Amino acid sequence: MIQNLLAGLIPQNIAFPLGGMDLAFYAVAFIILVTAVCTVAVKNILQSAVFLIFSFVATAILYLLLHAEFTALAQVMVYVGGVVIFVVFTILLTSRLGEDAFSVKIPRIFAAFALSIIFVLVMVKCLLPIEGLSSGAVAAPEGYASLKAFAFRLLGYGEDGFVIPFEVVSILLLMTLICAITIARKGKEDEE
Amino acid sequence: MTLMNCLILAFLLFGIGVWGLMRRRHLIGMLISIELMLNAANINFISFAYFSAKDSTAGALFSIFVIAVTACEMAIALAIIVSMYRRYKSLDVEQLRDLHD
Amino acid sequence: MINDVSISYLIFLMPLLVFAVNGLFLGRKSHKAAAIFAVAGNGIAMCAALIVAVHYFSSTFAPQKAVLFDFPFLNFAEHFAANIGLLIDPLSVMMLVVVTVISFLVNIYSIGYMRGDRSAGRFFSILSLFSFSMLGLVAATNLFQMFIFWELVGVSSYLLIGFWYHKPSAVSASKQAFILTRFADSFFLLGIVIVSYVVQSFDFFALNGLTLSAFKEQTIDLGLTVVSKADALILGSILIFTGGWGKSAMFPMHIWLPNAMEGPTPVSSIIHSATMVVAGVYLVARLFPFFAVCGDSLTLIMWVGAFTMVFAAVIACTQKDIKRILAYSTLSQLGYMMFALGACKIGDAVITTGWTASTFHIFTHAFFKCALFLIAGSLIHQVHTNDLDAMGGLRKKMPLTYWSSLICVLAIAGIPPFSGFFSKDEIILAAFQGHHYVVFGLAILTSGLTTFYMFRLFFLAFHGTPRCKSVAEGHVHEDFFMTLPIVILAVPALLSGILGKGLFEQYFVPGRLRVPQLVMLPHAEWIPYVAVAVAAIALLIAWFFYASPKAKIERALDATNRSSIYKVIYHKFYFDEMYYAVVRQFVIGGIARVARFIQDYIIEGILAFCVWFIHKLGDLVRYAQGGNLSFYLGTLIVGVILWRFLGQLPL
Repeated sequence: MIQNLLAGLIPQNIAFPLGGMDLAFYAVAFIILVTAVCTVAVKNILQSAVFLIFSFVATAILYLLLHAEFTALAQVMVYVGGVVIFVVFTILLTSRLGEDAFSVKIPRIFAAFALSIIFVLVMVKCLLPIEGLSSGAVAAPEGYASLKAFAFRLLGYGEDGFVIPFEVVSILLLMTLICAITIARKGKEDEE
Repeated sequence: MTLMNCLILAFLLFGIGVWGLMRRRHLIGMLISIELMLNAANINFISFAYFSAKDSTAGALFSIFVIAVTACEMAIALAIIVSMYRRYKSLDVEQLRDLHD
Repeated sequence: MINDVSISYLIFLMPLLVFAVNGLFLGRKSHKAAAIFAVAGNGIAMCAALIVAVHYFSSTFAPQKAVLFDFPFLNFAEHFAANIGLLIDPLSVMMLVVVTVISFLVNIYSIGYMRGDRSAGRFFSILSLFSFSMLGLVAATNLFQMFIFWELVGVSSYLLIGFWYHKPSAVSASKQAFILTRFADSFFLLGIVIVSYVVQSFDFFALNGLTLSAFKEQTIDLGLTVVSKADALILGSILIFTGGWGKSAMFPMHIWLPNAMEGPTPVSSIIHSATMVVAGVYLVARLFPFFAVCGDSLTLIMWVGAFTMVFAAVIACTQKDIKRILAYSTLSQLGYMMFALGACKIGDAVITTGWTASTFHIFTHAFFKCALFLIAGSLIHQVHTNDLDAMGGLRKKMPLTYWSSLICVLAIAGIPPFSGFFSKDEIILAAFQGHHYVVFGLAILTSGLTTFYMFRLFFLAFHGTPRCKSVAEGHVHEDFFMTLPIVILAVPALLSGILGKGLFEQYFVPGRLRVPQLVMLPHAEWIPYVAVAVAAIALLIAWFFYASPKAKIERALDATNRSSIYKVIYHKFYFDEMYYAVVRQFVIGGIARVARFIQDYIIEGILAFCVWFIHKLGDLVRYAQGGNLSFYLGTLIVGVILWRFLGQLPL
């Protein structure tokens, strides 16, 4: 009976191949997770932002493992070089250095942890019955995420072209620019 | 490096992001956790594109869009945070309760 | 169409009507109108009862039973229903006459007694409620209806004893009476349930017509044990008797009756002397064939009755409160009636003399005891106190009362040719014929004691020099409304024995018995002489102590330096104190404390918990309005999880 229980607990569908690429994958995955945990767990948000940088870089390496070069490039440039820098700026703008971190109540810690664990478990359990996920077969053609393939798809006019979403995103960027400036502007009443 | 492995990685990362979101009191801390969650979604997209998509390029392209939209969202969120800091002088989410009547 | 049937409905409807009208309308408006209406209503009922009785006994119909109607009131199962009906047979007709006559006379008496009382209207209303309940009880066709009216009688008694509700002693006495009789009635109900379950009927005909042999083989499975139905029936019969035990105040449930004297005297005279307390005797008489069949129940009844008889008589010899003496006297006479019924059983056979004697004594006792109570009320009205210490010398001042009182006291003493002699003589004869010689001796002894204490009361109240100032100065008068019923009642006290003896011996038999009946009974012509002799000796002793010129009355009334036996008897063998101690220690200290604990901690605790829970729930909901961002995010995640489990998230 215990065997059945254990057999039920250990998923049948997960394979852990140990080829060369797989080892690299495990290493990168490990780095991603560790840095993510550190991001979330440290008290100082500046340290947290730095760990986020490491996490993003590791993710970019993962993308490279998955042969998605352009995505890795975009990840590093936009996320690391844009978003996180922006976050660091804001942190520095809005806090006094040396300020104490906020303390969180214990029930809240416990509740957060429990909730996230439950969430992950539920999601993973949904995943397990699906067949064909553990085969390791690669279905992507070579160079599917190269610059050339992207360029043709992104700016293509045909049925599988993405030019309209491209234009919409550019409008979105414009709107974002305007909104951000408007919101963060020092108005006359905020002048001290 | 099976699809299952990548997906489990993505889910774990997402879970960590959720944990951070609940746990943190600092607004920017919560924002960083959201970043992690979006990152996980991205990994999800790319792994599906790589392992079992009929149209892989579209999958990768979509993740680019996600990155773009994330950037916009973070910009606006940070603008709001700066504005709120100016108004309330604190970024503690427990103290910023204007949603409360 | 006016015939006997419709007239007999009138007997019951009139008191009910008086109760309703007096209670709802007239009682508040005018006491006089209420009194007149009450007297008129009860008078009509009395006339109806007398007409029915005359027709019944003078026709050839008697002693058969007639059931006037039998209406199924509650259907428990197929062929097993509780009915409401009207039964006419010698016993019920006799009781109807007694109850209506006494009720009528007491209502007249109350006009005088309750004059000036501010709630007289309520009094007349409840008195008629009592009449209605008692009439319903005696005309019941089955146990269930009898039980309903039994409880109604108890309620009326409670309302009337505690009539002056601003007197704490009256309130306490009414509570005691009700609780004690209710306690006994719980066993009564248990007995009814057992017996009706075995027999599958409540009807008296069904119960009186069965034999145990049909039930000896059948059993009831209780899960733990298996009980034969015959044993269940015997147990049920004893439990049914327990109802009568309490209601007729047999030892040890006797303490409520002397304390019930806290009520107004008309109440004492009708309820606690003539009618309600006789209900227990009536129950045994009605179910006599059933009790005869059920093992040794009748023997138990006999010993209980005999013991009460002697016990009460002994206590009555030392009491000084006039109403309490009469109360103990009632207890003693009830003991007579009860043991007469029980003495019918000899081994496995039965004689019927005791039954006839007991019912005859119910009849005669009602009249003279009621009259004695009314006289006591009259005396109390004059000297404004119940104590014999304050009375004396009322003979010259209240002549009518004096002579009526003499007649009644001679009646209760059993001196021929007054009524009590005939009925008591039959009872003593029944004891002798049943070969219960110990009880026979006790009965004769008690007869002497009865004469002694009744004449003690009589002499101390009426003879000698007045011990009350207002009496000595002559401020005594006989109220017309109070004296009239007394005088009227003296007539049956004198004559009912002589006139009723033939009637009773002819018609009053308990019906078909399923046990062998002895017919060859020893005749004992010497018994009446012995009884009268004992009574005469007791009278002389009482005379010597209390009325002769050499009597030291002051010393007789002084209860302080007496022997310890006297003191014990004077304090009624400390039974009141014993009951009080038991109630206090066990019931109030023990059970009530536990109940209080359960109330305070468990029930209140559950309520407080519910309140706290709803409070916290409200706090939780309020939290959702609190503007707390993290909470909203958490709710989101929880929602996703729940969506997976409860909804259709295609994961």
